[in-house]
Amino acid sequence: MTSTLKIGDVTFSKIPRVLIAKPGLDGHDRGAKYVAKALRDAGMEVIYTGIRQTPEDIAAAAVQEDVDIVGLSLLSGAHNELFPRVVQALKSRGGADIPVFGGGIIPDADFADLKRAGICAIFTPGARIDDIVREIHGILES
Amino acid sequence: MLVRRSLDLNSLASQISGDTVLEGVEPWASRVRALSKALSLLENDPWLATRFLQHPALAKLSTNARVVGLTGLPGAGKSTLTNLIVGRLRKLGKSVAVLAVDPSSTDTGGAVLGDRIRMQDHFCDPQVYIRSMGSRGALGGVSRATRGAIRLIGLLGYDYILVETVGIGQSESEIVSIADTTTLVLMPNSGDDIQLMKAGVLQMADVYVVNKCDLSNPQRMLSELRANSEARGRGNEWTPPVLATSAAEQQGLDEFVDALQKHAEYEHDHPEGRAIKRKRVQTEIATNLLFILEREVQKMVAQVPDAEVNAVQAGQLPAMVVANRLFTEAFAMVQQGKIEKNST
Repeated sequence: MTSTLKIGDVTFSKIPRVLIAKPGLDGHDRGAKYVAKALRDAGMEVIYTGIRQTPEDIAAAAVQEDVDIVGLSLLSGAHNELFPRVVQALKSRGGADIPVFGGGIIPDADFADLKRAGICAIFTPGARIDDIVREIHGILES
Repeated sequence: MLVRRSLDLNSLASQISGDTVLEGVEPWASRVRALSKALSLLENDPWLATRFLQHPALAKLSTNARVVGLTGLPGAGKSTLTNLIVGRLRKLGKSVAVLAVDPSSTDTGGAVLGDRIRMQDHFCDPQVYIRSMGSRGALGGVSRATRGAIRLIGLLGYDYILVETVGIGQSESEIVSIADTTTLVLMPNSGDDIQLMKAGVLQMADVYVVNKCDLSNPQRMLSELRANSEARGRGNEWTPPVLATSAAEQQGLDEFVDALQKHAEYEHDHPEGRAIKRKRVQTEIATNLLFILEREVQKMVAQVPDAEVNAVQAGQLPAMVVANRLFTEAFAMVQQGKIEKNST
């Protein structure tokens, strides 16, 4: 029976899955939860890891959950250190294809380095939730 | 919201089996990554997944995982207990996978899958796999993909697969036909003796756990459950243990794991237990057959002539007459061999 099967490259439609995570020592999760709920209402499956996660925790969760994108929220100022480490940890677990976006208190001056480190989008205080959802949707479809 | 994704199923299958390894990734991590992608295929395209599960690279693998269901009211502590049980099983040297099902929105299909947050202790343990699933419209407490997911996860050799259902009420008992051992998680104030007399999942669990025993006195609940349980355990039948636990104070957990192991031994050692397992396998075959038939049925219904649909709509023709005609015709075609094997 198996010999008659023709399978190789396939395409299929899926409900997008998003991991919202808070790396490092920062307990301020209001923004992360707000974005999580907005993405849920946009029709995505959102997994929230909770606060104070290591980059390795986040990468393991992202890979096991097969999310289509990871969102990192950080208000402590350690984004330059922690965001790239999440990208690296994803790579070592076979998740190099999972895009990562960031949000929180991130000075404009850090944007360029974060982008170079593989962060695909950055949202700061004052970002409109509709814009966040639209931009993430765009990344998911690209 | 839907997005398109591409997969090479041949590479995926050989990565799951470990025959090939993702470049720059540890062999085990590579298998886990491939498993995760395959589970997404299963959730989103069950038809492709049906073919994928028959892939030669996967067909040579088999599963021997013990499947434990945890079901119960929302907020009873299923996820927290699951987390603690994973810890206990790990101490016994067992590898564990968790499938945690949470409800999906019927409007948007979106969901917040929040069970994983209770299981942070195990995120980086390579011998623990945690996967959240949206229920995606299924009403039995699990999703349609849960059975297939158990199969796929089992192929990686996990000793235990814990399936945590959506928080349920009384009638969502599908987990009983999926899990080898079904645990019902209750709280000291979950209801009086009349609640416990009701039919449904309350009568079907293999292990009863009254959790949050630190919060109020569980004695009445425990004695009523035990009376029910002893009435079930006549002769060689399994007497479901009734356990008091407190996740907060880490009490009753060894007894819980012990009960899971005893139930596995019972199923193995007693003809009554083996008969239950056999019935469950038959149910699984039937469920899969119904799933395949459902698609054929939808195709058939789409071809019913407008005149006939209109007649049913106008109340001139019973829907059962149309259904019976369709069935008779289809059955005749099957008998004549007009529907080829693997027509999907």
